[in-house]
Amino acid sequence: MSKQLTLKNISVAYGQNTIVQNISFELDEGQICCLLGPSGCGKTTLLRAIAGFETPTLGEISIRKHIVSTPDKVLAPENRQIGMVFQDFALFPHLDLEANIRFGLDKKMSDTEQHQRCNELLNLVGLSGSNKKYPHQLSGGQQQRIALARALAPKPDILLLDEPFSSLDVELRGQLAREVRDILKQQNITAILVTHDQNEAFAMADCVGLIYQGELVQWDSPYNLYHKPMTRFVANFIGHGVFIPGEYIGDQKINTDLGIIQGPVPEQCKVGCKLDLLIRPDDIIHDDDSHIKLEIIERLFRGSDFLYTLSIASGRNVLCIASSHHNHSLHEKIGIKLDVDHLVMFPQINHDNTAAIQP
Amino acid sequence: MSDIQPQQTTTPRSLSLNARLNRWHLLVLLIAFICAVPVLTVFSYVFQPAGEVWQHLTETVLSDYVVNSLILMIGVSFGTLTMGISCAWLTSVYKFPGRKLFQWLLLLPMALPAYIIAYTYTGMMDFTGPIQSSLRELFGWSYGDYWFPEIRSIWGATSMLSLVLYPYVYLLARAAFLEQSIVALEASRSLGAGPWKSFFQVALPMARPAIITGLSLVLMETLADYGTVQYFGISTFTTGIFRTWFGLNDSAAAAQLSSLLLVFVLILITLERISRKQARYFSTSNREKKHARLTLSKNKAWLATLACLMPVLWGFFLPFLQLTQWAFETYEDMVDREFFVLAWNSLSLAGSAAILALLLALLLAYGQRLQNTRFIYIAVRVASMGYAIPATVIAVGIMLPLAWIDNTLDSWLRSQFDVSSGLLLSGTLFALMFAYMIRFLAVSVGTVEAALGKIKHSMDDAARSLGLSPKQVLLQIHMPLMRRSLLTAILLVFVDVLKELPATLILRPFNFNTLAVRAYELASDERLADASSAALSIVIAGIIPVILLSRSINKQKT
Repeated sequence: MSKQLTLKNISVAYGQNTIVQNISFELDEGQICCLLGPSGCGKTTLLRAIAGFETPTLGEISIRKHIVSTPDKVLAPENRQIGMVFQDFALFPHLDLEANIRFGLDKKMSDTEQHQRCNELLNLVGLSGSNKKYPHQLSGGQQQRIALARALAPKPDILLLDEPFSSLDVELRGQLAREVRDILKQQNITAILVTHDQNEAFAMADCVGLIYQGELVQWDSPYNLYHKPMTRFVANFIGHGVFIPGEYIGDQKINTDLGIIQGPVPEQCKVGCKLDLLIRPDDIIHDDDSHIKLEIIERLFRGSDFLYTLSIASGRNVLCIASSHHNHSLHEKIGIKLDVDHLVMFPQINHDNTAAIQP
Repeated sequence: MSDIQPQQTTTPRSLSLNARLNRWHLLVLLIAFICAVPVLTVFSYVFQPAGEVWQHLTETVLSDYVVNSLILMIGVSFGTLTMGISCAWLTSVYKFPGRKLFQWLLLLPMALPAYIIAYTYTGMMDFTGPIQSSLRELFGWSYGDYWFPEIRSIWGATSMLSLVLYPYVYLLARAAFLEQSIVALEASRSLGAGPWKSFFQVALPMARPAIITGLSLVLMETLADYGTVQYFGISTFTTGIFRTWFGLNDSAAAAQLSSLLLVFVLILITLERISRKQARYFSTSNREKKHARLTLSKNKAWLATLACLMPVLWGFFLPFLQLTQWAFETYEDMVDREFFVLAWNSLSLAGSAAILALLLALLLAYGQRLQNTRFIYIAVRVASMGYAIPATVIAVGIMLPLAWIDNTLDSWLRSQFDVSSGLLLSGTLFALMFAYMIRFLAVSVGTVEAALGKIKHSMDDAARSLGLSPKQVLLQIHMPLMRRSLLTAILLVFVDVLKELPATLILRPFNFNTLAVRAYELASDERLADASSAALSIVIAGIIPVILLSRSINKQKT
């Protein structure tokens, strides 16, 4: 597969203020990747650097093996075959939908060809026949689809999506994210999506780059990001989870407040070494027969299930998802058992960037 | 001058130090530099050794200039604040007959240039004028039986300027009163303060920054006025500069006087900037609150109507009627071929100045949008600083460098080729257009900046990502989206140029005349009635921006 996009050691700074630092990754043709991170982490700046709106202070960006950005020379956005979908859609209010979609088409194309391409795209996004409507006559979701159609019309090498669903209703987001993914996959489009919403990232992306304080913390598949976080920050940011303290007692066994947990413990951990174990809600299973009983200190009914917060001896809390039938009251003690598939553990120092101990 | 819209003061988006010098960047800097030339020229004379004329001036008339200018400023402040604030308060808080109408009628006096209202009143209050004649008829008096105020005095000039300038205070105070959360007033009433106490202790202090902004604009116009004070024979800075330049033929002394006047102006600019900043801090909410207007008792309601009627009546309707009457009497003689030549001169001059100002404003505002560095921001502010600088000063600041260029070129050509180039720049329409640009660029820059500010940056990015160059984005996205504001910018500058007097008087080419200059000349020759056709044309054109303003006021849904 050919490399569609390559970033090498990209940094962007405004004056003394470094926004993104030393970021490298590659994208294959047809891959959809997501830049995920809390607001202000630099992910949008990175996307704008790929689009050509920002100049990197270090590093280089290539699209299809052509260098497009270096600190000295930046190919203007209009000359780099990218498509972009904006958070506020940025449809041109003075133009009808057809004119919006045809806006980026090659002026050398004949009128009939342009019209045809426009209809193709309207059809693709499920809005055929709306050629003469104006943006203000559309709902948010429809505007989003037109924004996508407009960006796809000139057949860009890469599609960039900047928080494309954040101005839509929560219910609409998931549905549209799936639709957009289907369209992109069907057209074999290489795309980068920027979002702060991990559900959106997981629904859309083949790979996710987690960005924190301007640095790329982990570039991985959504599955690995959840189950094999490289740092404490990743473990905290992705999904729910708590750390419980534990001590290695040898023989691949770790003693914790929840009893002894068995699993592969890395070699660098000697007997007696202190560890923090990541426990996800799905690692704890409600079992009335279990001898481990914990007190419920918070209960959240979520329809199909309950999310219980349970108190453990060391004063920490763990989360447990129980089916909707297991209705227990507050302060009741319920039995749980552990079902830890793969252990994620960190040495006991409180620092976000502490690397995980790899088994 | 119609710099009423609060200026958009966008803070720079990024302070990228490695911002490249591109074409837009250079263009903005160039325009800013050229616009700064007259002011820099005038200021450079502060450090010139004082000549004989300057010494003569300081010993004799300079104190008059300062004292008269100060008296005018104090008097006009008092007049405009009283009329502006009371009418703004009444129309924004109370219900009374004609309130909706007065909201925009109160703006009408802006249509009258001060020099026109001055000579209209001179005619009206003359011994043979309508007021004294009817008084004599009514009471059977004859000459010498009664005392009548002399309009051609500093008090007359104060009244004339107050009558046409109070709308600045009115507009800004009114916007501030409407912006105030009604909750603040209701809280004050609920705490036992009556309407008067609420006004003085809550509403007025909250509106203070806006009112000061309006007042500083009024005072800039007062200092800049030439036509009124000259006509009434009052010695101020502007008449002094004129006299020193043309009477005593001393350009250096004129420039030194100008630089002294600029010190006054700089104080006003600083005052305006500070109060605009405060106004943002003082404004309680961005949302326009729906005001439940207070009801007045029947008598008080009619008093309110009367209070709002007075400024409009004296500031617009009476002089307008007088001008119309004179025009009817004299138009057969006055509206001849020459009149149409004058009208064409005025229209083409104003039209081309308006379009040129729009083009420059587009370059500046869009250049700033493309590269919003602190440096560019300051350059744009410098380029649009001329609204505060008296036209007389601008004229002096333009004449000096242009004459220098002309003379240098001419003597070089004479010595090298024995030909004379004559006056290429000074004394041509170029000099005049240059002065208009400096004086009125702020009007079009303000309008274009406000309109551009409403277009989201993602529009630019979207168009760029779809293959448009920055220039194409301006032409295909921004200009169609802003077309209404662009038209407004053209109209505002057009009318301002049409009304402009002192710079035109100084810089116009030999034998080139406009309606404003002709009206002024006829009035100076005591041919008041004959001046009315030209004056009335200017006033009617001046109503256009008032209509535009009143439309934007109505849009605020009050």
